[in-house]
Amino acid sequence: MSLDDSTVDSIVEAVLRNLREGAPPAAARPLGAGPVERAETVQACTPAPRPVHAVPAPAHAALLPRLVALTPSQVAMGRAGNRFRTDDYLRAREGQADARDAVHSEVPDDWPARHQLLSLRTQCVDRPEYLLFPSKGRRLDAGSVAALAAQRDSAPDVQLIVGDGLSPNAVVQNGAATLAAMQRAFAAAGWRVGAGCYVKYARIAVADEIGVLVRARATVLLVGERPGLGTGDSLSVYIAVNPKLGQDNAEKNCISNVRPIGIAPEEAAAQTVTILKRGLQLGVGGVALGLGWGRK
Amino acid sequence: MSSRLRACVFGRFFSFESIKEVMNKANELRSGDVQAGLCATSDRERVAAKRVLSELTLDELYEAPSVPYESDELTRLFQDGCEAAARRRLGGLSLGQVREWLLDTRTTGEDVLAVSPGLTPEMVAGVTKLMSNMDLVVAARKIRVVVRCNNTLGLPGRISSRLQPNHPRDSEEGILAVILDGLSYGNGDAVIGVNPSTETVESTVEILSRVKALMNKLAVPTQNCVLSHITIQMQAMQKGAPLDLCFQSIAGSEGANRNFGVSLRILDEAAAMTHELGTAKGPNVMYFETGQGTALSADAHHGTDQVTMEARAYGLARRYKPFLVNSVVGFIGPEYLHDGKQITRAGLEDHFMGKLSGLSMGCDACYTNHAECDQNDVENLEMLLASAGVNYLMGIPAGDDVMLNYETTSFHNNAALREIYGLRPAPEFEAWLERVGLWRAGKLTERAGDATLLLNREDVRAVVFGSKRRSA
Repeated sequence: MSLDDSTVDSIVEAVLRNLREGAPPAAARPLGAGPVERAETVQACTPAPRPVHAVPAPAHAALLPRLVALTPSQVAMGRAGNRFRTDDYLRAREGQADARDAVHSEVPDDWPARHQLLSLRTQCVDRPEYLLFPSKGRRLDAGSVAALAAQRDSAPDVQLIVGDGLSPNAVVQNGAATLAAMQRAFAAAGWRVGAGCYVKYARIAVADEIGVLVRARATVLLVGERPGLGTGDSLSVYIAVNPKLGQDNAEKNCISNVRPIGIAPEEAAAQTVTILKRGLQLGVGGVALGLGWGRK
Repeated sequence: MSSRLRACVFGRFFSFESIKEVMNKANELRSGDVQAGLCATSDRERVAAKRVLSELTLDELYEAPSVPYESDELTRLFQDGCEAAARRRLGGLSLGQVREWLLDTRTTGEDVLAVSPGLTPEMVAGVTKLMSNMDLVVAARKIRVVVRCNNTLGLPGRISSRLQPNHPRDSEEGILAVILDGLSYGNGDAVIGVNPSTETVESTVEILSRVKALMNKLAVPTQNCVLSHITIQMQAMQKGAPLDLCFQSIAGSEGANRNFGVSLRILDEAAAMTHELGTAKGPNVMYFETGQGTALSADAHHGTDQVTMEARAYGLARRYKPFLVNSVVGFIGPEYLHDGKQITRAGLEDHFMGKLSGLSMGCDACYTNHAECDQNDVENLEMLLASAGVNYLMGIPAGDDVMLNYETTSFHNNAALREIYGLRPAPEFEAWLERVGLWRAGKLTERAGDATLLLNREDVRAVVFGSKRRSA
């Protein structure tokens, strides 16, 4: 089957329109994801609040809101037969759509430069490889190692790193504010902070290699976390003292859920300083600090 | 031997160095085997491996354990524990013949369970690699593994669920609220199983006690469980906590289990302690979770594919005659099972392999949002497993675990599966549902989904809302 001229024209027109509107290139989308999202549809909006419950004629109507208030889980949802009500079905789909779009998003190539960050990348060639081969996302590629070699003698107290991780969207939406809050807090603490860097296709452990290369006393990694339903904008902060290759996650500290309706950037920065002060003083991190932020 | 390890597919010969290479390459494609560098390099090589495998006998697989006998306590358990009389009944058959015997309509579930003690995990995995998805359903469906704790699971015509009322900060009131909600949909007859966010002896004791108090007040026949590390549960039992089921994650090699902080010795001790100090009637009182890719993620797979390593986890589980075993099939992530197709296949494999190993099998049909999988995929898997006679599935509000941050199956889904297939809850639990007005004539009543139906009495409300006024 061949395409007629009018079909070809309409495809060309659509591509040009998308380019004018600044939509991401199709190559950044997962295979089979269909046409790119139209930029004009992107605007701030918050979902309508859920009803407190949707149980018709509960046996004890006054008790149901009390039960609902006890848990963030979706209880007292009501039902359509044995299935979800339409509103709940669509809310679940919205939450997963947000999460999946976040996983397959990309941080724009000029984002690091705009935030005065050295641009690095791991050994992954693309996002599918990043998702399927975690070990390649834990090590820098040769070009990035060479770029860092120039900073071998910087030996900062704290090396700040931003990584796209499992949610590049989280970096795009909350990366700049969180980075700025960290820089202010570290300056106030009197720490020497080396030139910050950004890592494309980053897993947590890549921070160890960077920390070793620049001889940092500690690293702080801001990274897009694996999204749950409707949490595609959530960043995690990983803090590592005395970085070394192969350092276990139990030796790191983590603050997760950094986003507008979770932990605010300033609060995350303050917690990071608290952890780092203790960590740099004792020369250890993670569960050994006994601060309750250790992560298995 | 090696001269036999070759096959011709469409004009091209493929030969294999060892039975292990044949086993690895006979797997259906999955990302974990790709990551480990073990998979077939083409579809033709894959089917050539299946052809070769189909002509190997069970006895030959017995002689080729995937992890060396000398260096792995599980291999010693499997080889030494393989019952010779049961093994002799099929030992000379080829795997292709065993597949046909399993699928033969004259072969009953009782026949299969009679030979099961003579099958090593490599035999179980081997025949699985020769079966299509529908083969896996047909063969698993005939194997009924009936187990008893406070409830009876695995009876024909019935399906149960684990109620998973997790809370991000282990709020006991929040946990109880979700339990009431789940019970109101007829969920929770397999176990009320809480994953704690903080693993301490104190929190394990507290959650076990509070859940048990609610179970007692409601007189609901089921089992409680807190899925902290097994050594923490042992300390909780010694402190007098009411514990029905003792839980542990397990895997298919000594090294992978070491990564979980367990060994045969620890599991033996825990099982003995649960029989002595546990609060359930029994005799089946253990609960294990497994999942393909676990051994690889611990770098303790010994160059073995993830289906075979999973079968070895089942070989370990059956030592303890557990009440529940489930694969948490899509939890591990896309680097082990990439998409809905691979997760579905693995779910069906795990269920069949567990049943063939004589286990009461359930499944956590689940995924993380960075896998190419969605709710439609896990609903499909649930329907396939229900048709395969799975003993239980997971029940979580809206299928969204707010503590573990992954997507799984809902209270609604378990109710719908009973509707679709005409399945009923465990008999003791069904009688309770009828007593409280949630179940009548084989289906949920109009009152289903109203958790406050269970809050008629002040003493029940005190357990749920009033942590200070709580009484045992």
